[in-house]
Amino acid sequence: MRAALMVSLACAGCATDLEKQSEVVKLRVLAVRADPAELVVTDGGVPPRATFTALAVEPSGAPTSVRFALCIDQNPTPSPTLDCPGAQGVDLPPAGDTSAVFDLGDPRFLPVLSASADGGTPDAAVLQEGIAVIIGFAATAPAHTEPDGGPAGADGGPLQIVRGYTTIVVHDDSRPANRNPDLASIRIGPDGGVDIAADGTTAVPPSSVQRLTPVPAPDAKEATADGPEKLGYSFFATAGSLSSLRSTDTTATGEPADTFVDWTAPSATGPLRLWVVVRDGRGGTAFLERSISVSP
Amino acid sequence: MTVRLPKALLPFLICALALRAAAQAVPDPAAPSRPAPQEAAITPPQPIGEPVVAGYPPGATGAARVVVRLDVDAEGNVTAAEVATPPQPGFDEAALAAARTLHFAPARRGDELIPVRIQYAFNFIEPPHASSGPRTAQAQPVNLSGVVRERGTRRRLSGIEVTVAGTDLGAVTDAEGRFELRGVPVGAQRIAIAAPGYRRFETEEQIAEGRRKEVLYLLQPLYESPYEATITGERERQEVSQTAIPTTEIQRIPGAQGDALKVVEDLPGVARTSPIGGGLLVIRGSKPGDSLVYLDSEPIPLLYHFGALSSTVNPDLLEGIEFIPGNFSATYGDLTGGLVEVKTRKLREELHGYANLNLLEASAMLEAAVPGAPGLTFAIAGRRSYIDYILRAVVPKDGDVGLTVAPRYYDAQFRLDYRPPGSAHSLAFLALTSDDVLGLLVRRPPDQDPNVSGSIDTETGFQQLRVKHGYRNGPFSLETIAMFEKLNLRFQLGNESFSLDGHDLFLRSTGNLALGDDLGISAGVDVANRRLLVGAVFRQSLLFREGEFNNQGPRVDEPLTTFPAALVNRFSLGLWAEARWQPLRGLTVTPGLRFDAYVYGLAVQGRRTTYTVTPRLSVRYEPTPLWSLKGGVGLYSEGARNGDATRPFGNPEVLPERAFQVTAGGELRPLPGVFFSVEGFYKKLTDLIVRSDATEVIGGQTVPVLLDNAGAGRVYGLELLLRKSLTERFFGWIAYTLSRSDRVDRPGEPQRFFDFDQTHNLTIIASYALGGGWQIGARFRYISGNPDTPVVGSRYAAQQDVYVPIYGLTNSARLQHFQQLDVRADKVWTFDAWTLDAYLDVLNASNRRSVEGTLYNYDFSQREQFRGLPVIPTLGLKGSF
Repeated sequence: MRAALMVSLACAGCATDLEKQSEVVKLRVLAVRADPAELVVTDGGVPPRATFTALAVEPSGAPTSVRFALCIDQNPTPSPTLDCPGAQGVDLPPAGDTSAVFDLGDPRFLPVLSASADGGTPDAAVLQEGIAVIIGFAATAPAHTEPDGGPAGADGGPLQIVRGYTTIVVHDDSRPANRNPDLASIRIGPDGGVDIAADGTTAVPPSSVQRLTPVPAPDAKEATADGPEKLGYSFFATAGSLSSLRSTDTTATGEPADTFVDWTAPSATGPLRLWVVVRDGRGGTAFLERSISVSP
Repeated sequence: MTVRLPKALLPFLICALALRAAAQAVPDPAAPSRPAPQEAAITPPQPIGEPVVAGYPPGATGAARVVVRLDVDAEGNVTAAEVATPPQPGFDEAALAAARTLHFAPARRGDELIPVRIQYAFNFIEPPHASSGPRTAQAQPVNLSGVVRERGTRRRLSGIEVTVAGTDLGAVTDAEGRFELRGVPVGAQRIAIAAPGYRRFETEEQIAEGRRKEVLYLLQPLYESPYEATITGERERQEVSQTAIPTTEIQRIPGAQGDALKVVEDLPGVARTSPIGGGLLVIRGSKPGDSLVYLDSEPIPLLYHFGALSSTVNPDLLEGIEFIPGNFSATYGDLTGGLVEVKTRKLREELHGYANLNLLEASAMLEAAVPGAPGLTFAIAGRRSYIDYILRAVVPKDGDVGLTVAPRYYDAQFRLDYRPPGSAHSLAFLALTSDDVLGLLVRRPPDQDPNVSGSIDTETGFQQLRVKHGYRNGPFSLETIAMFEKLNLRFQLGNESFSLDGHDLFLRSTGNLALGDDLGISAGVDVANRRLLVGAVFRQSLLFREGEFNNQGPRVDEPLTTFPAALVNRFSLGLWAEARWQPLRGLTVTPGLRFDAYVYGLAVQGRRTTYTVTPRLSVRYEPTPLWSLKGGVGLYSEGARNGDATRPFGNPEVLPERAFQVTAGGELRPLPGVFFSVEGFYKKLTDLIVRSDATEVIGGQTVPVLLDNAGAGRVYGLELLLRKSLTERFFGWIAYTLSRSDRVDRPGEPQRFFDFDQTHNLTIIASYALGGGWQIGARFRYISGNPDTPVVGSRYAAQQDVYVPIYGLTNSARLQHFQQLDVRADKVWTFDAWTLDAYLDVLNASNRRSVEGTLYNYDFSQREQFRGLPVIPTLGLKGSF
């Protein structure tokens, strides 16, 4: 711990040429949202279902597709080498290029979920607390075609591939399901700024430093037994430089914090895309994309 | 001047001798200040027969003092003699000629006759002029007396000849540096002192009729050192592998900043660990934690303040360190690696102290005798960093990371020694405290971990109270140390936290008995009871172990484990006995046996007890002081540490780890002060505690096994040490280790490198006193890069917005080698009663930033080398009195 902390501190000021997570220069999955955010099972009720949607982006605008699967190994800390989707997953039926449906009533899933509960059904206490179900995904897009060749796909090869996993909590009806938060807008500029126009007409000067402030929907924060939800934000851009990938409205230890980050516009003019993802820390996710242009 | 006998060269206690004659043999000046180690019951050789007088060389003028080194064999004959002082033509030859005619009653260890190397001094006084009166006038009253001290350190100098020019009057200072002259002619008289290592001293005194004059003479050393040298006779070598470094050398080693523990890394068998990791002790391929640092025979829990900037014990209270990399005797237990024994020094009775300022910290120390209480001395020392004041000034208040508690550390020591004159008993009390704190407020989570935000607070500290009683009566001696320790360790890192409050008791008692000329026995008891109140909210992968590839930090998506505050006990009892048998001259056989019991577990649940019996044997053959052969073989055990035997951190069923160690080698002392050692070693490690993915059913519940004893390993290598001990101007060494350390984490799994496997480890140190108060030194290190586990891919954990690495084979890659040059320069100004040392210690003087690890980008598709610290100069001032 001490060593890790020291390394973090030592590296706090390290200059590096490595690609940043906030820079979208290749196929990326920036978030996966489940609708609803949790599945609630009721005695004798219809098995619930959720739709997973990946925010899969490719800066060149190349088409992307995402395949989802219920992972066979439901270890709470999944092995990163899990072949899911693949030999170790049961595919979810697609609901679009980047979406799929997880239906608890699908008979193909029952053996997997039973196996994760030691071959039976989870007892009431476990179900009341909630079971995190592991869903794997794989996003693909054509290989980069930028003039310089662009960065290779995460797994190399002719396709760019991003693999990952998400979870959805299944619990009984002793408590209400968590709701996804929503983002109302992204504001740009000092003193609270102005909303970035949804139609892409917002423009900023080259190399200018702009403050980006996410605006959650009024009912985005739900009350929990531990107090109001803590919303965490992630920021992404296809160009320019962000001062921080993340912000939060409340720190892990309860201190209120500013949610804005500073974005330095690129020196080159032209259109670009920005994304903000909000997570409530309990499985709820929302995202918002905006386009702006850099012009003198 | 400081005269340091070559410690590594002399296997025996050394004594200086006094003879009084026209050319007299007198004690070496600093010899009386030597704290005679109680462990070494050696009787020095005594000159027998007619006093040997060195003739005053024809044609010479003035006074001179020649110190010679003599090899005295077990029969008391001088077998070799050489001059230890700077050349003094004529006087040197006369001294050597006289020295070769000396004969001694042999030195003894107990009743055994042993060869030794000693220093012996001849003082030459210019023959009186024809008109001079008698050399001494015992019938006349003392009319000139005083004390001779070293300028700056105020150290009393014994064995110094004080002469009255133009007469044959002279006197030699006693152990307290005092002299008395009788019958000094009335009127103005030139007083002269010529002592090796000091500038010639001359002054004029007005002698009045019928009056006694009291004077103080201060001798200017030729090569100033702000550090008082104590001539330490070599402790009796009871260990197969043992290297002792005195404080006087430690204080001058470049890059060590005068810190005793940092010097350990420069010795053979010790791996270099990154200072960013806090300074770990890795000896002969054993993981950190398998090796311990003892302060006067009891462990200290934290070696360094954060960042390994300073050690937690003031180096000015130390006599030096003894480093034992393996095959240690039965005295030590509950560890399978090596050990460092840090020895505190004997306190001085006169008022001494220092104040030290550098860019990071300030420290001070004071020691003296307690007035009116014979035999009672005390010392008090303290240190505090002021990094907090600097950072508060430079860290922006509204940045992503703010300081809530600026980093600072402090430590303090208080010591009280009571050695009643003439008593067989001695008593010592030592109190230590150390504390490090750091508080940050992280307003925006870092890229690597969204869980880390808010307060990041760490505090580590300890307090120890020690009482040591010593008793010596003829062939029997007994030393007992009791210690109470309070540990304080807590951190909060976002939503994870850990707290530990320890209240520990230690007891160690060691008895020695000489049973005859060739047999002695030692036995002891060694008890440690740790009672820890522990609470934690953590991720298991945070508790990474040796060989676990979490060089990218803990798994962000891992669920938290909560461990409500509970009492955890760890009790160990060691009983040991050892014999020292000398069947032949020069041959010492030391068999030993140790019994250890380990009891650990939660205080409120059943505890598990395990036992180990570990026999050990060492052999040393040393027919002459010039060379020796040595070897050792033994078993070692180490009880589970750091919660390894406590759920949910570990598994109560784990057994002690074990090691089988073999060492063989030889030592050579070809020249005075020069020591060469070569050692080969092999270690077989078994029952290593490793992580397990298995589960077990306990009380009807399926729980993870977490840890078991499935690991094994082996370490082998060769260590070379060529060392020149500090005499007057130069000391240095070349240490080289060739080694291989590997592990098999579970039967059937592939063999892998140990985390700190460093094939080549070379350290070259040189320090030289230029004169005029200038000293320069350099340290060069070349060390093979550590093994590294590459990341070969990743998966995106969408809920946490992080990428989880996929690792390649453990330690299948290797970092670039480490290479660094450190330099140090000291300038010492010597005043009558104090010295001022200005020093510049430059770490990484060539600014070659070595690779300390591998940095990856967010999805592990790109990597670059993480480089260590750039050039770091440390400028300091230290005033000592």
